[in-house]
Amino acid sequence: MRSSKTVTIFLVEDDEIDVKALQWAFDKLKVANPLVVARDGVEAWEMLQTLPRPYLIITDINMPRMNGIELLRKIRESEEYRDSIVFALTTSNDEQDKIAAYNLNVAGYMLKTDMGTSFQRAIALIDNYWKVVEFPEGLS
Amino acid sequence: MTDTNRTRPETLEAALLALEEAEAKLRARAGDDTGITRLAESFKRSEERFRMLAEGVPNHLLFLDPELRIEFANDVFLQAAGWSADKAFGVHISEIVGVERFMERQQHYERALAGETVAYDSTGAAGSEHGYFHFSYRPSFDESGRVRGIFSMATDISERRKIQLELEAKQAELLRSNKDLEQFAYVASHDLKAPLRAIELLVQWITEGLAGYDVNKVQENLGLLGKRTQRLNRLLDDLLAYSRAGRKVGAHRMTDTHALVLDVVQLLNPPPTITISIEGQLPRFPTHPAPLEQVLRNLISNAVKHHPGPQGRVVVSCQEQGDQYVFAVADDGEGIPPQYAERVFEMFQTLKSRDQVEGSGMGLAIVNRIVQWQRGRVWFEPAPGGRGTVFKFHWKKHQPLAASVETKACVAAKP
Repeated sequence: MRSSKTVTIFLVEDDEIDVKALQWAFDKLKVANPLVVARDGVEAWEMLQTLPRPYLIITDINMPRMNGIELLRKIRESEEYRDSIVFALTTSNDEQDKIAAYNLNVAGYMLKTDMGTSFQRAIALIDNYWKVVEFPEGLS
Repeated sequence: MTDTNRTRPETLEAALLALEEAEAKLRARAGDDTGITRLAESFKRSEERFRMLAEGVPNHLLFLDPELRIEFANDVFLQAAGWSADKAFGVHISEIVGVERFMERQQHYERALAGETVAYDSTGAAGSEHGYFHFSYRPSFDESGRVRGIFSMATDISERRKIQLELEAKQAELLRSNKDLEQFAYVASHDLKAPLRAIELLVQWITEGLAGYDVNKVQENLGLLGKRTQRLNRLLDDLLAYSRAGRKVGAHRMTDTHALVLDVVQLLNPPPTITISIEGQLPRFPTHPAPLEQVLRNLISNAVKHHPGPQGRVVVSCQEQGDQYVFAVADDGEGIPPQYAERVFEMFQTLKSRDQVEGSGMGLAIVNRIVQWQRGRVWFEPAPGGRGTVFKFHWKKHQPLAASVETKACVAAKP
């Protein structure tokens, strides 16, 4: 009943090369989900209002203007978007960032370096996550 | 001041207590005719010992009667105050220290007269306006428990105070450098790693491209590789500049800030669409020109770099404000939303992605650090015209103590 094709992947990432790398991984794994990109938290928050459901957010942490942790906080505090599924994909190996992210209920915190240069593992994981994990009707 | 000097007041007070005990014994045995001569002798010796002590210490010693008139003053005090012993005797303390100083201390005297031992630190004592002194007023009681006078002692602790202030400045510097180190560890794990990772990715793509997957992209990726390498280089350079900010301050000399700004502008070589001008005449004063130049250069180059165009105006001005100058760099660019008032001054913080505007995000962090080094402040306001931003900062006319201490330490640390 649920098809992964309908899920929009919303990527919040300020580095164009990382965006390219993720796009490449999507192609390689034949993940056909639409991919939408915002450059920082401020832009992401604006775009969120127009984003069709269902969606899945992958956010970087260290970004200009509004970072990933601040974006997560804003999402969790809002009545409308608080149930969003958010993954953190970042170079930050900082304990404080991990604690903050999990306190704000990220579905997973992934280090870019651990994902190798291709991001294939990250995308494969996120793709599988969506296919395997059950959500209430409204979300999916 | 040496340690022996610091322990002396203790010894002296102990000696005074012993003296009081001896006096009490003397009174108790006053009826004893057989011992009276011996006791008088002992009293004389005791008195002599007290005088030797009182004249041998570097402290100001006074004994005041309940009306606060001088009953005893040691030579150290009399010399400092410029009074002779015979004239000072019986004179009210306010006449010697001056009415103004007496008013400041009156409450302490009153507490001592009420039977309390009072201790406080304050600037200025007889003969030393700028010294820093520790005062102690100790009430002396008669046998019925009434206060019959105050034993007053002033100890010059200027040296100790100076060391303490230096220590506090060092401690503040240490806290700041610890915080910086923490922040550095954080940014090193992200901001420095990000371009390195991008380089890694690009190399992989180029390798794949050369292996025949997509040869057309190789040129593009090589271009990106070059840009990321430059970015990493710049981040490292600016990080180094940041770590040096406020440490290597260079020479202190008469500086014409007007000429300094003109030089900065010439070196920046702004595009013809941006006009940079100076409002009025900027001041000439003795200061460290190198850090001041860095602050002005970073602010002016920011105004130029972030200007959205097509035509732009940057105006540098300066106003005198007490012991400092307030420099201002105004632009008519996009302006900065007030919620970023603090963030813009942090390390590696940019308001735009580095892919949009190439920049390390260190410029204002360096400015902030230099301005803080000389106890000033940097901030921004919306430009009066409603368009753009004015960055303002304080620059002290005289470099503060902590700053010169730090500079000295740096000079000393040079190999």
